[in-house]
Amino acid sequence: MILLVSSMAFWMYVLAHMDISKAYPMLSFNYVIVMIVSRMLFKEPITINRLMGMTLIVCGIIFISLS
Amino acid sequence: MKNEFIKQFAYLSSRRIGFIYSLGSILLVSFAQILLKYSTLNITHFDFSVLHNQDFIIAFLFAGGFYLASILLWMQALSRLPLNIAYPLLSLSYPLVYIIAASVNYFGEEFSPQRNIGVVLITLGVIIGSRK
Repeated sequence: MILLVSSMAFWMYVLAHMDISKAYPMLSFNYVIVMIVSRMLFKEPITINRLMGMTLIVCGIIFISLS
Repeated sequence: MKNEFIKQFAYLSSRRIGFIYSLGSILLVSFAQILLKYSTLNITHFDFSVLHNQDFIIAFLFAGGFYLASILLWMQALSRLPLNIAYPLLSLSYPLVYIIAASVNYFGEEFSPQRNIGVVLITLGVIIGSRK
């Protein structure tokens, strides 16, 4: 709960300083972090589809950050 | 035979309702984001003074209400749709927010080729990544 509230506060700060059309898609980095952490903590497998999806997401974020 | 048919029909229509619920949920969560952005438009720096800013509070509370409604709809959707269909649908929210923000002049944001490519890649990435 504390984490959620602080995430919200950070997010409001980001929104106040950045285009939402740029910032919102970057939230999808969440998926990458969840995949890596669930691999480390819970030993969940990283499948080929996951890996491809995460690669696409990272490429997408790089493209957006270039704009 | 007739019973089977009715069961099949009930299953399909419950899935269709689940589909509609999930689309509604995605719309609501996207509008909530847009409202949050709207609430920050007139704020130059963030501190506790925003709590006295009535416009901010109103937009923020509306966004919260949208979020809550979106979560309730999402739970309804999940009880009717398999997760491997419902989850990729969530990624539609990225292009949706982008399109709304870039097309409403009020936000002062615009479409750009890099952003187009980026948003498409991210949406595809979430869809592919959510398959087994």
